[in-house]
Amino acid sequence: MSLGGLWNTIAIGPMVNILIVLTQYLFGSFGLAIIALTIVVNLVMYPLTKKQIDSTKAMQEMQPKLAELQKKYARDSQKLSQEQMRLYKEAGINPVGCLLPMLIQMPIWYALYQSIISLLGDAPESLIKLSQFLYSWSMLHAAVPLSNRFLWLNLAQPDVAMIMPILVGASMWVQQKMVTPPSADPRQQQQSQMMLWMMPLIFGFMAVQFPSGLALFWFVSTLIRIIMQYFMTGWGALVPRRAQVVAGEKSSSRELPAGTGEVAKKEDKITNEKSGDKREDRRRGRSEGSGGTRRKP
Amino acid sequence: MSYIKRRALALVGLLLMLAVLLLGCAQSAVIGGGSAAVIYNGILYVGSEKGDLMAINSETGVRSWTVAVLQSAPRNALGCTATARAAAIYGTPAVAGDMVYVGGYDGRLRIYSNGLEKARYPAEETASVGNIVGGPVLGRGNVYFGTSKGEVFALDAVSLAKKWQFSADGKVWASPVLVDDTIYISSMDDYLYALNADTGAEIWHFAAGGAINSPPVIAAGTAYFGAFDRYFYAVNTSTGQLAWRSQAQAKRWFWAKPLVVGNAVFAGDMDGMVYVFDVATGAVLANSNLGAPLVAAPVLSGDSVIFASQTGQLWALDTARYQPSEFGASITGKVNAPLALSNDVIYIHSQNPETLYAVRASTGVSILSIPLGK
Repeated sequence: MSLGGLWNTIAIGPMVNILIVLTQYLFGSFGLAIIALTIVVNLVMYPLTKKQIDSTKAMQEMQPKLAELQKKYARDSQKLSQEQMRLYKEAGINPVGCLLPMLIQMPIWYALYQSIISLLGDAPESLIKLSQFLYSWSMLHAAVPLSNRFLWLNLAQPDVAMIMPILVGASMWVQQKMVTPPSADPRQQQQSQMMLWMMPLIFGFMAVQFPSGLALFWFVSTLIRIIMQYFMTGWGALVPRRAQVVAGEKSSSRELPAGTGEVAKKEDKITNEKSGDKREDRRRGRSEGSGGTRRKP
Repeated sequence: MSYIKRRALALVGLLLMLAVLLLGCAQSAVIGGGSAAVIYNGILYVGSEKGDLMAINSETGVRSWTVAVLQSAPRNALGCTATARAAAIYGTPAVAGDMVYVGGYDGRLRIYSNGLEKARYPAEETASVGNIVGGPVLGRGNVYFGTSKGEVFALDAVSLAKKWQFSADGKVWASPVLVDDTIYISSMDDYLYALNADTGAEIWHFAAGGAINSPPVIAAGTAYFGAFDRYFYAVNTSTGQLAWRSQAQAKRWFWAKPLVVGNAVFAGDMDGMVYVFDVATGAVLANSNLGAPLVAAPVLSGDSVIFASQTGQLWALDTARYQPSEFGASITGKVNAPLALSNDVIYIHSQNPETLYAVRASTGVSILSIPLGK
């Protein structure tokens, strides 16, 4: 079997068949099936996503220290790498820790994407190709072709109302903003700004060109990611820190005993879960040292 | 170049690669197309996947004229073709005198004469009735065709004025089949419709268990067709009642139009199986595995039914014993369009590279291969 055939057998085939079954059970709506499978895939990959977000956040937190090291050992690359490794080791961080979960997830997203494309095919060739993916279960064969209608969308065609492209772009901007690390370094700020706009623009542009079923998949994926991100790290740079603190204080003064601001409590819990007490102590020390106002005395 | 700029360029490059990768994936869904050839007064008329209609001398293979019915799909800023736009001609053109009728995937039916457009429906520049996949059919002073939106149109064959319109609930990709004053429509809403050809009034409809893409063959008061539920059906054309349904399901869909020869009906499925059913009872007389999906409708040549598998292998099934044998040389490229037969020559339209092959029906010897690409 060729590599393409193997990929079709282990990845595209199962997802295509699952999507058809979901469509049948979700009132014949392929749009609902896309949403459901996107949620399921996200839930299945939650541990990997969590690990990725945690690693990314930890790496972001270390950036000032790394920048200091780079400045200090600018002319001694060997020493620089030794010190960097020492820093990573002390913090309990794997420098490629955020990449590995992402690499594992990519083929799964790719398969889901290809499966949706296969099912959305509006031309004879697409349907002919699709027939080769179907398992022998009678229901699957009789269910095709799926209805492309969902809300105002023809899922096989781009959204002429431009609502989906806007939703895709806006949601990606929000998600990107949430993960943008605060930085005083102008170079890093510039990179962050570019990332903040580049991804939403590219995907927004693609959503204009591509079947709206794919735009729906991108939008739902991003929305789920935003929710996960919120529960793991809060609003991040989306809501200015001062506003978060004020909100936390107001909330704590109403509902919680003094000294347990909601934001701080949430962050403490996450940090404790992921990094252990040692890292938490360091973070707390840094926060206190920089005059942080999250915790009331 | 500053450090910041280098990093920025690298990042932009990475993101563009991602975008191109995604666009490349979507290319797999791009429309191909390419119609069967129709032969009229020694001229072959064929529609290409690029949207060209060609008139070709059937003896020499020389083009008399080519007209760009549809423009190639525009490319986006990244140089890739968007999936939603296509320029294919799928349906076999219909010819009457010097008038050639062709349905485009852009949702318009056009009439050409000597390479010049004479009329189109709808006439408005931007209007579309939905993708036209099946070929138009001429008869009773009308031209009939179906669309991806489930609409069936009957237009005046000269003026293209609308006579009537019928709405099915699913795509109508199959060419309509006109017999006397009744027109039969296969639809992907699982129904076979029988309509009055003059008024469009529904006479009856028959519900199969899955979508129907195969145009029915009408013989001896019965409509024969296969469906996506993998059953093969025979329906009484007078009553619309089921005459018989195949006992067992095929492994994959029935896609192509079947062929009736004497007491047998030959039907190929998407798994490469050919089933030979008894026309009266539906009993399986024989089945053969031809090894690759059978998308193209077969033709009858003498005592043989000629099939072309999607991978380009030609097969002949003798009509007495139903045994398959390889027939002539194989064709390069994919074969999706129905085969056409005229004067002992079989015409096969293959894709990638897009070529029209002419094969002697009695011997299997290749006579011509005409490149259809630009």
